[in-house]
Amino acid sequence: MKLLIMGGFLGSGKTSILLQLAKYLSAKSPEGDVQVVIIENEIGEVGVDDKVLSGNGSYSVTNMFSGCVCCTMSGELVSGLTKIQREIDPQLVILETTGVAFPHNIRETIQYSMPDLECRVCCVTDAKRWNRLLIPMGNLLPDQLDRADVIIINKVDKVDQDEADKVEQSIRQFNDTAVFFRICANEPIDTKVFETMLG
Amino acid sequence: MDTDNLDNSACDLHDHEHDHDHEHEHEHEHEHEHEPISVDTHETSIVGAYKLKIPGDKDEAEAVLDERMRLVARKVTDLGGIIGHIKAVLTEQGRSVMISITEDESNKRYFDGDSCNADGVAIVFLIKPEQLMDILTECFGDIVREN
Repeated sequence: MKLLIMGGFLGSGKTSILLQLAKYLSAKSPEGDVQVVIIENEIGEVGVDDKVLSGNGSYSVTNMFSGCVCCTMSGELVSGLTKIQREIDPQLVILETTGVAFPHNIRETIQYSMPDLECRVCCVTDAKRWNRLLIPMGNLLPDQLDRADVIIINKVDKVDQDEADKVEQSIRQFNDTAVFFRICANEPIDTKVFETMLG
Repeated sequence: MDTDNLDNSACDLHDHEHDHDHEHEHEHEHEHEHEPISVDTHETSIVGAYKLKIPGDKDEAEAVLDERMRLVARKVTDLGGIIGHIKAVLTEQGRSVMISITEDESNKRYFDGDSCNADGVAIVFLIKPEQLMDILTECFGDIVREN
């Protein structure tokens, strides 16, 4: 079992990318021999993304509401992952975090309890809103990028090339070791992005 | 989902405020829990949730919901707030059937739904929870779903 943590700020496009990733995995394995479990973590009493994902694929979607798995629900996440591994043992678990979570914290927590679990972090950023949000959300956005393996700059269709370059330059100040991709999640995403995310 | 048996030791970066009478290591702040409109806090984010019943078919309800959500967004930014994400799922109430059994006979009566349900959240920053509650009440108060 491998774990992919999908992080990134609210509205950056995590669910849109995840929908395409899940379809890519389904197409890659038409006989269904690649089992995928998606864990949706949303803050608030009402879940939205889990409904979108449940209605768009043949994979299992598990919901974790009313708390963030990088802090208040970290214990529940570990026990949930252990249960998934014991009862389903899928090839892949994808965790979509809340938009205010710190993905690296989640990875540290999981690896402390499940040291043998291969775990990758992908962080999604919003090219259009990056510069506008960076100052007011300065405690959150940079730390979400911390030690991510892959950083996806989404919504590049909403900015010109020059602006996209500036956004990437800004993001690289906080993480220059990740593999970077620029995409527009409303259009088909290159499969190379998915392969790199999965490692 | 039982959140009372959580291990909260993994992260000391987050502060929560929780206004329940049972014990939590973290802190959360809930207002109007289980009400059609509620507001919580999570760290620096203000998290509003709303459950709506919108009259009309899907197209009509979609237009109403879109307009009201834009209004929420505008009011948040007018107060100097930052929008994290305002989103909702609209579900059309399709054809329904009422099944009635008295002895061994089953009677069925079909009818079309006359409204849509919407469940959504508004996650914002830099305004007060009371301000978000006021905005959501102002924008959605007449179309909330009570059950």
